[in-house]
Amino acid sequence: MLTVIFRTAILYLFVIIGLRLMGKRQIGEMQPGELVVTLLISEMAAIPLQDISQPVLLGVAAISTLVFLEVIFSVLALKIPRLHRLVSGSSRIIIRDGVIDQREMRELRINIADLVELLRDRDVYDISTVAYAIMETNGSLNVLLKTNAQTATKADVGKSGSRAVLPLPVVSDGKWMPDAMKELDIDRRDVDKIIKQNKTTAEDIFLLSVDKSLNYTLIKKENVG
Amino acid sequence: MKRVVTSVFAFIIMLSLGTVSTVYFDKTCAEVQSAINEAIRLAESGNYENAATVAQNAENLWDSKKKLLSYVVNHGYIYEVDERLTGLSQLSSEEAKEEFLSCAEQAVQALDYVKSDK
Repeated sequence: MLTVIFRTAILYLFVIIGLRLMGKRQIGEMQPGELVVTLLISEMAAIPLQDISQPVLLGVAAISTLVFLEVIFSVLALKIPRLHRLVSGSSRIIIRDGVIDQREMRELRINIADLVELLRDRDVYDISTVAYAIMETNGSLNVLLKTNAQTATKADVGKSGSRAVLPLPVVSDGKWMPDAMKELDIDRRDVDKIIKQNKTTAEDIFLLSVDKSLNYTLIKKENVG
Repeated sequence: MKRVVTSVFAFIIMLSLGTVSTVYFDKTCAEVQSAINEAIRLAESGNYENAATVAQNAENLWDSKKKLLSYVVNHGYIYEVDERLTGLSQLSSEEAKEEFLSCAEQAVQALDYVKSDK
């Protein structure tokens, strides 16, 4: 029993380290190769867990090798475009100027129902409004609408907007976030002032997010039991 | 770059560990097998006392190295060699000659399995 717990902990750590080394991506955003490697890693980790006669080091060795190959391949694919195409394939344009490229669809084995669903996912309900629809190598569809179907931006209507500001949480669940304050280039005294203005303490704050201009959102902790 | 270095480093460690362990258990198995073969030879020539000593040495050698081997070899194989070697020296007598030879040969075979598991 203890052996199983110990083995599980070791393999859990190695799987997490392995996946982190591969880079974080959602399952849906993975390239085919990455998905295969992720599935293989989980499979490799499961073998010594299911069969305790297998040394745990074998699982660790297999995971290390898979991660090594995946990382090396991805680095090489960055340098060698042909290798990238070979491993990940290439993006395909399946709609041009409102016209579906049926040959591409046949090659990608996508039927019209799939295409319509993917377009709806992108808030596109009329194919004739699409300038380009590109099927990416990870299976997602990116759509560029025709100019007259695009939403007007501030620049289109001749308005200049203020610079976008990024608020960051400086107190989270009663704990100070020094990295966020460093990123915002603000002092702890500035944040203390905000806290005092709201007649509270950092320990009683659930979330305090602040931007560079010291605009803030403060949510106090609730007494939940 | 940090990820590449870490994964290459981990892989090199695993590769080195694999190479060292392969050499180590090849050597260990060869040593134990050679001791058992010697015990078989002695038992076949009727020298049961020396055969028992050599078999006991083989058992001791295996006992001293099996823990390290179990980190890289299927524990089932280790257990199998264990089963054949334990008490082998006590079988070294005129009456139990056949059983001794059979057990010793099975131990040699089991060690071959261990070698194939690298």
